[in-house]
Amino acid sequence: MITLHHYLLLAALLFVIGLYGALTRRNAIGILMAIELMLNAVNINFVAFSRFVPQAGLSGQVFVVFVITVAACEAAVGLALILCIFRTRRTVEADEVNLLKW
Amino acid sequence: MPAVVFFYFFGALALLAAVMVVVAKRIFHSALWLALCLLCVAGLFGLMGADFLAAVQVLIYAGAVVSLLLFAVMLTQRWVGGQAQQHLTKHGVLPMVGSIVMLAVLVHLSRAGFPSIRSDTLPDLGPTTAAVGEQLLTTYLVPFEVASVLLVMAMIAAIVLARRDPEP
Repeated sequence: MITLHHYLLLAALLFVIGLYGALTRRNAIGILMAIELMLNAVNINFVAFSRFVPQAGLSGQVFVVFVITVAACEAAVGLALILCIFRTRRTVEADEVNLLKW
Repeated sequence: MPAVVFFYFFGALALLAAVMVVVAKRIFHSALWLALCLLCVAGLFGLMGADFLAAVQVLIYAGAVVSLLLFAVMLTQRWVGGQAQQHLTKHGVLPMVGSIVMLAVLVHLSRAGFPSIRSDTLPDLGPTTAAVGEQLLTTYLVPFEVASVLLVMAMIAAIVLARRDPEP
């Protein structure tokens, strides 16, 4: 039967896949996608706790609404920044944008 | 019993799609796999009785954010040899070690004495949309307003950043 631990394990796996992607991707848009994966893993945890812990009530679901809001903001501003970088440097590879790196 | 089947179906598909997001050769394919992964997570939300969040996940994540990502991919491709390739970094072992350590920590934390209630013994919540909306406008009113201000700020910032400078 499905318990809280199943959801926690699934979310942990999703989070680690996203973490690995964020660490290894060179394309800045790929890094943003990996971050979205990690945020989704966190959202699964929030909803699972809100469902399986009776004292929690609906706070977890309300928190997920805020997480989705912030993630949408992050995607919009992040992609605008990546467009700016592409216009000036003609690349979106994260390790080729090293102007500030000594 | 169908709930168990749906859990494993959505969970396995979400994990597969997440792996494909990370290892796909073309960044455009990554974005499409990300859409599939987000839809599976929406299914999991539905399984947990969070119907409002499942709808929001489909509308905002799989709809808006992924199409934004696809536009960004198409605007920043260099079309080397007809298709935008993407590469992983050369130093592949350190991220792997870090991820495995992180997984060990998370699995260890998930065993930390949480109540192991089976999902079929939980009471049926029914639709939670009204309750979530009520909480948003009573208990969480201030964060709700701050979130709307944040959205306006992000919108203006994205317009200002992505706009081409007017010709002098």
